[in-house]
Amino acid sequence: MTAWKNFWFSTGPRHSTGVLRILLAGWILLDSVSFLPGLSAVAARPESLFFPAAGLRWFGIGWPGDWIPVLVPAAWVLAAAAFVGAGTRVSLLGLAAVNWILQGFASSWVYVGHASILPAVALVILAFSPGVRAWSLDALLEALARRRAGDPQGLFHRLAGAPIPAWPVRLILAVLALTYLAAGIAKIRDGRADWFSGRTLQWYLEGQAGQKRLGDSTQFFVARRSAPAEARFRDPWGLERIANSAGPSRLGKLVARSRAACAVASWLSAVLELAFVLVLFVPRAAQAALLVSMALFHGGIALLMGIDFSGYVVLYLAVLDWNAVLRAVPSWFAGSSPRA
Amino acid sequence: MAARWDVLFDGDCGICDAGREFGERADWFGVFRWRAARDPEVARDHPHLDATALDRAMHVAGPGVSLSGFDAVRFIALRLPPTAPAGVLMHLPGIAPLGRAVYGWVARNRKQALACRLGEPTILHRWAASVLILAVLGLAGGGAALNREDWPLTSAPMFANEVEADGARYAFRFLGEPRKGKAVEIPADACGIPELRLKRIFFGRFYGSVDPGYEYGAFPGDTPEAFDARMGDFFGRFADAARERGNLDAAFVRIRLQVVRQAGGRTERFDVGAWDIRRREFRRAR
Repeated sequence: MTAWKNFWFSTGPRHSTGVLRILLAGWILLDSVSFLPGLSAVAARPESLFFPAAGLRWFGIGWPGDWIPVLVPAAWVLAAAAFVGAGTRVSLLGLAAVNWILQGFASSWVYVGHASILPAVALVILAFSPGVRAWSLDALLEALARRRAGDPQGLFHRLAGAPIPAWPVRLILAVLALTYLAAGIAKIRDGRADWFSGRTLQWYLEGQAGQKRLGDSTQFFVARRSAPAEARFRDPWGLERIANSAGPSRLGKLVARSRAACAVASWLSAVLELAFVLVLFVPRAAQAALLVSMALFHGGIALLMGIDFSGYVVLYLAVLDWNAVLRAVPSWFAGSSPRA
Repeated sequence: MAARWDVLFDGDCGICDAGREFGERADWFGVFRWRAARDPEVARDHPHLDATALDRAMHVAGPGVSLSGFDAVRFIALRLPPTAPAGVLMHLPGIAPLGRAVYGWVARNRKQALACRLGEPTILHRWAASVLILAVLGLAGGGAALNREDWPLTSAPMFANEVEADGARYAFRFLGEPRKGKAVEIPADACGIPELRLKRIFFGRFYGSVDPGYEYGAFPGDTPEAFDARMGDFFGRFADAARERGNLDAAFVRIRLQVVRQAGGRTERFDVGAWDIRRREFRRAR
């Protein structure tokens, strides 16, 4: 119990959840520019072929398509309110719920929008976290009102809020670590020798899945020829799984020419994903090195395969010592800044 | 408006400070002034209150009022707009003795059993946060451990799969067959769902994988008969949705399902079977 208490409830970096609220809501606002307008087309799909994602089924949400005209504007308003911190807690709770439904809806067609999972989970964590009013409009208005009433506490102190426990940031890091760990294990379990020889990555970077069309098809599948005969009654090849669709860039196709380069990239990705769990236990410098490596890894994925995981990288910023950053940046804070 | 009453609370106690923070926010008309009981000015302004009593319970003091503990709480609750209904309930017969007992227990134990020091999370916070932590870790860890891939659970296989020696890839084709003439490919999006999604739905929820442990397309104990029934179900839904959108040629009598294998410039085709549009029945090719 003591170890649990010490790990989750020791005092964490000041400002972290307030700053994360701004970053995450800001990222959601940016992402919404491309994500939200497409939802009316999703809602026009036939309901008879709709299979809700687990995240919707848990809450008994069947077909949210009819609610899209209400939920989309609500998402805009709530994201903007959470970003500036107007009615902070309520807007965060609302945004977490609406974002959950919309992202779950978009991921309901036997498709998992991996890039949307962590930001959605982090938003739920944040909605219940202490300290989210730090650097909010609510806190600013309250601070100004108190200043007028003769409160001696400085503006910075009021805006920054009280010190908060470490659990929100650690929990987000733990979920990140579990996700990466699962991805690393999947490379061993599902990718096997083909992954570590660079073969699988080379196949994707060549554009075999998603880019090179075959008639009407851009969605491809892979087979397990060694599957037992009785399992291959559907077709002679034994279709086993969905191939993820990828649209490699020119650079990606260039890398695909070298099996060795693909093997190095494959090994690096697996090692990084498996090692990321250390982020929870190592000192700050090593933590920063792991986070920077992971950010570069996602940068590489974006560059080679055009897949955007920027939402994950935004979450890394929660780990920064924002007290130190904010003390260092604007000089007008220097006089009144509290020590963490 | 100037505050009418002073609320004197333990400034070193986290629960009390959280109460102060809430009370300040809910005090829309500024009728209360929250002051730490150990503030030297408090002793000067309220000389009739001794330090021991102030340490034992929260007080409200002001013109004509000197209340402590639960009585102070309900006095405040009644005067804060968001808590006024609760304040009314606290005045119901029989509530006061219970309220005083609960308040007394919390006040007595706030520094030991509740480990409530300023700047530290309260025990209630710790319990609630622990539930959230366990729920989130349970979902994320459970999804990964049980190999589930269903938003927001992820076992994250993503691009990790084996590739055949010749780099083969496979695709499905839906071919509309008229009574006379050549069969033509029916675009998957004829039913209103983009091809990428529809083929995933088709494979994951109807066709099935040879791996009974695979998240999408796992039909443990699958049989050819069950497969035929699922194909019938799928093509029924597909054809109805396509027809509704005016995208199903009335000349078609059957929809043929074909699997295409492409590797190294060589393409092979296999007809799995066909769905009879009129009889709404799927038959595998023999």
